[in-house]
Amino acid sequence: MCYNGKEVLIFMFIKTLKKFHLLGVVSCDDTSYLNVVLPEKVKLTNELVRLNYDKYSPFISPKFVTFPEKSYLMLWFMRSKNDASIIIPECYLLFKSLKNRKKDCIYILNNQKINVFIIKNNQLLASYVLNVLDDTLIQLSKDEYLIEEIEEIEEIEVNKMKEESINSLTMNEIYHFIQVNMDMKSISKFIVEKFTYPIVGLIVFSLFVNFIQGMYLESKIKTLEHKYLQEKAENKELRGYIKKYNIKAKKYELFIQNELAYPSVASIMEAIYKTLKDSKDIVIDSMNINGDKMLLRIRTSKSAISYLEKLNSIAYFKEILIQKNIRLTKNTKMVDFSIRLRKVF
Amino acid sequence: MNNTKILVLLIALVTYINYQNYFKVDIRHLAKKIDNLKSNIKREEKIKDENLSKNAFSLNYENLFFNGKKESYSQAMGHMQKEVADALNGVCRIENIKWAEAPISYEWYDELAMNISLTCSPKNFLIAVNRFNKTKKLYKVKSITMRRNITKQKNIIFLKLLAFRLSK
Repeated sequence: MCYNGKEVLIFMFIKTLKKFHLLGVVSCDDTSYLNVVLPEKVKLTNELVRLNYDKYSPFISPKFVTFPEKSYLMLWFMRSKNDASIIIPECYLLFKSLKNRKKDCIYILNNQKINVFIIKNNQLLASYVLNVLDDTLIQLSKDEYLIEEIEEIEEIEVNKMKEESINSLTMNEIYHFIQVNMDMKSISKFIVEKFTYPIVGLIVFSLFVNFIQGMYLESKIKTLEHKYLQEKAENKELRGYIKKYNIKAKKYELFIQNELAYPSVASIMEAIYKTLKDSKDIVIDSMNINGDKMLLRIRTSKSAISYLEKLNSIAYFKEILIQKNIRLTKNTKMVDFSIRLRKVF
Repeated sequence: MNNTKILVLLIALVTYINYQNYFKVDIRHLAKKIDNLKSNIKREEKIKDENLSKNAFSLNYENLFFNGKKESYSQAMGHMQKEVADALNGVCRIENIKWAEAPISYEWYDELAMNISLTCSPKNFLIAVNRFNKTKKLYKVKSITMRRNITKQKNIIFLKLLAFRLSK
């Protein structure tokens, strides 16, 4: 059999409930069943159920559990008080297994006693318990509910059905069988009664853990501080050298940034020579460099744009503009490039 | 409801809130402090393990500068002019040299400036620049104007050359 994650979780939850006796099963012998037909969308509170149906109970001041189906309410009166927070009637568990077997059928279950379930249109119309199988009573039920079919189920299978039903309970079913009154007053009472000491314990524990953790960390810090001061004292001389070195290094770094930020004249001239050495129709007329600005005047017969592209390939140049482009003769033009240099440091 | 239990719960909650507000130990802060201390100790241990001597920390570029304590402005400029003349000797012709009137002082050094005009081919100028680079002192061309002289087939170069002097 395969279970998905949700089913496994519910299964674990039910197991936990059973382990802590929070979930109790009331045998069919200790309950009396009543099928209450309800108009659709009508929900009855426990008080209304008690008010309307208490009179049908064979027991005096009975406790009861209910489970709503689509058009009717399943109501079980209980013979005795049960302390469990979730009470599930054994009859419900058996009905759950039988519900989808046959649409109309009278089931005779050989449990510890004999349980009779009358199911019509997949509804549990009645259930009763017999010490000895009474054919007359079964015949009467057949006639009353107009059901022909009868099926008898052995004790082993009945036990198996109960086990399977309890393990396949849904959260919705568990919710309906919870016996705790959920109004605010009772919730706060429940919390105070059940959780005061756990909460207090938790608070004391968390404060204690925090305090101990703090103490431990403080002592560790003290040890580390002591060790650090010791190491620092041992390195005092070296630290002095490092400090002086850093001051000097910073001084020279600033000097380089201020004074040697831009490429040297030789580097720029070399780069221009390498870039333009293959160009035949060019004469450099003048060159002026001042800080990050450079003015380059050339004389050529070709387009200034072709030289602009070549000059752009020089890494030292950040921006290049054609400042002037004057035609001197028919074939000769004078082009002024205004260049902004890139910082190298 | 059980009044004793409510009282116990109330006291516990009040204690918890007050502890959280006023006495709670900031574990994160302490853990961060421990991390910082550990990294500091590691750094100190690394310094100690490297076993460095005093010489490892020498950073001396002072020989690249003229010395303000030993050389006056005119002495430094004279020295500079000599080195310029040596560098340009045989490759460029010096037309004119003019010293700046006074050095410009910065935080720990002065700028010594010299305006030079030369007649030189570009190739020879590059040879001269290479010679400058090989001198003991640091020189910087602050500005340069290079113009082609068509008649003489040589370039006329105006440059402002800087040297640096450590302040007094």
